[in-house]
Amino acid sequence: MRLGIALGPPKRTAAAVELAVRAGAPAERLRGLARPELVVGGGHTVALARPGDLLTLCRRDALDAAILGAEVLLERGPEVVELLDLEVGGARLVAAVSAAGAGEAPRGGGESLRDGSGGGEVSREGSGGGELSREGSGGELPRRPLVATAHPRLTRRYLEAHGCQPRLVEFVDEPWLAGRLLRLDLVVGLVDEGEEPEPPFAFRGEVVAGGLRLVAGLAAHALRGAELAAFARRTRGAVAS
Amino acid sequence: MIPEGMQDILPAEVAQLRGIEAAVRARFTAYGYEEVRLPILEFAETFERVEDDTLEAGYRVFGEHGRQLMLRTDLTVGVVRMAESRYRDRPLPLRFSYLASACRPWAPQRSQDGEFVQAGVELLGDDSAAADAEVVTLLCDVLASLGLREHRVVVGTMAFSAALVESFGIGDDDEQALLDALHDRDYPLLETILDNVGVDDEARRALQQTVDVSGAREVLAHARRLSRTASMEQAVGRLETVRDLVAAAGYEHALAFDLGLFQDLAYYTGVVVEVYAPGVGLPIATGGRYDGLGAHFDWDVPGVGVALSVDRLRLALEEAGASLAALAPPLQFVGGLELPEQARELRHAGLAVAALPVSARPAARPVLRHERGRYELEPLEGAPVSGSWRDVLQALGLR
Repeated sequence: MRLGIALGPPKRTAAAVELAVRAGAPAERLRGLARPELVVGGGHTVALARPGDLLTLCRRDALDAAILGAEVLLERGPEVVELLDLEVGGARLVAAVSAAGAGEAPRGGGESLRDGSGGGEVSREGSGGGELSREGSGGELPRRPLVATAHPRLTRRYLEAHGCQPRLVEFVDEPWLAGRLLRLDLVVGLVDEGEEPEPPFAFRGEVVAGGLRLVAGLAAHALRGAELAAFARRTRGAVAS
Repeated sequence: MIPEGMQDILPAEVAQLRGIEAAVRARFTAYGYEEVRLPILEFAETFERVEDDTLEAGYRVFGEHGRQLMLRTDLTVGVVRMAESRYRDRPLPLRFSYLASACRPWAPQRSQDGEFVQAGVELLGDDSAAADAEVVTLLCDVLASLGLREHRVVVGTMAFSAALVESFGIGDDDEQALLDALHDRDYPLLETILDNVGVDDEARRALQQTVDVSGAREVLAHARRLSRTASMEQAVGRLETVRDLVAAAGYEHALAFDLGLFQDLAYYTGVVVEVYAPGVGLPIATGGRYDGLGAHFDWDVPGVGVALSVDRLRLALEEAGASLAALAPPLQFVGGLELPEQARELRHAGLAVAALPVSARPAARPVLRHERGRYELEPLEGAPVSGSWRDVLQALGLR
């Protein structure tokens, strides 16, 4: 069995590793790690890696299955078999402003978009539904905001649903560090469920929320279906326990 | 520089591809499929009328009269368009094959090249399970002839799941949502929709088991037990016939059945097929029955076909360690441009010869040099040979 576990916000990564261990994958060495790592032995391979890389590895039949966040599938499209909603490792993709940044110095120089809703977060899986909260900001967002994100498709859909045409700055990893170095209007990044972006960032809206999923590569599903089904059963059992 | 997603294919790889293509063509011909060559540019409306986002998302240009043209995104649509206009009055069935490239926007995350070569067959005018079986058998035959061993030819049917979902009586919108989730193989979403639409437990179990049902011969027996309607029985019966005919042709060992198998392109209606091989994450061949496609061209003729991705097939063979044909590099004949008689003699003996001027400095062996009536041969492997023309021919094994 060749399994991938997605790196993400700390609690989510820990939940994914624990689930894999309880399902019988030799992932003990991955506990507490926040960087890519590979464990090979006893006929198993377990890779801790960026979620997008895991999808690519599944699509190239270098991994049989992966545990990763639902938002990755929304962002990068399917072409894998989504076997289980694991109902743990909840995380939120949130839009945030730097307290020292955007509210005071909106970028773009053009017309601003004013929201009279007064705040309050709303989220809807699939993006585009939640309203942008104005709390803790200058209450204005340029029509063409400069936004850092590792989830360009979800971010674009969300902001366009709010009448903005974002200018995206794409990052491979969550852009919290980049958001402290660049002058931006928004940062869209992942945080664990129940958490807020850490200072200096202030929450503005929720793009999408979701938990971990177990997915399988198409080739693995066709060629090693019985082994995958057995692992899915063990994982389901681990979730239930 | 070339556009993103496009590739220059260099001689060593071309030699491998030619070997594969020759083997594939030979099998297509053996089954009576006649090769056609279709234009790379079609009217955009040819693809638009099929109403499929994937087919419509192609590279477009304007013709000199302002009509919108498109680089073909699919070969099957072109074959049906061609057959409707050139063979409409001919007796059915018709059998066509092709080996050609199609273009779609580059999508590296999905391993989608901008241009890809497909080798395929289309059997038009026969709606029987036997026709489905012929196409699957031919596919198995092609893969066997290439020496690919550990692949799986996965067969399913769109008709079974569609009939099952229809039997729920939940309305068109919910039906479509369920089919979309099935198509995307998003089983958690499937469960969420089932929760929301409130189908009974038996129906729910049937759908969950349908997507879980994949494997060998026993799958169809299980599918028969899951069947709730005559349409579902019929769909399973058709797969059983396909299985029996493919088994009679000697290829049952390569078959697997998957009732959760769907195809991306909207024109597929019945039996569908995909081939997977270790080390290649995406299917190396896809196909199926498309009985409604002809109607988009006002020609109500059923069809079934399959297309192999030649590039992915090459990767699969490479992964499997199969020996891929490699052409011997040409003999670099320094001074050969001024010795056409000798160059001709070598070529007629079956050697590839690149004639060069006397000043040339070839970078790779084998090399033949001519100077003042003497020849020096540096073969691909082994020690150089010097001597007369006769000595050279002897060293090359030609005399």
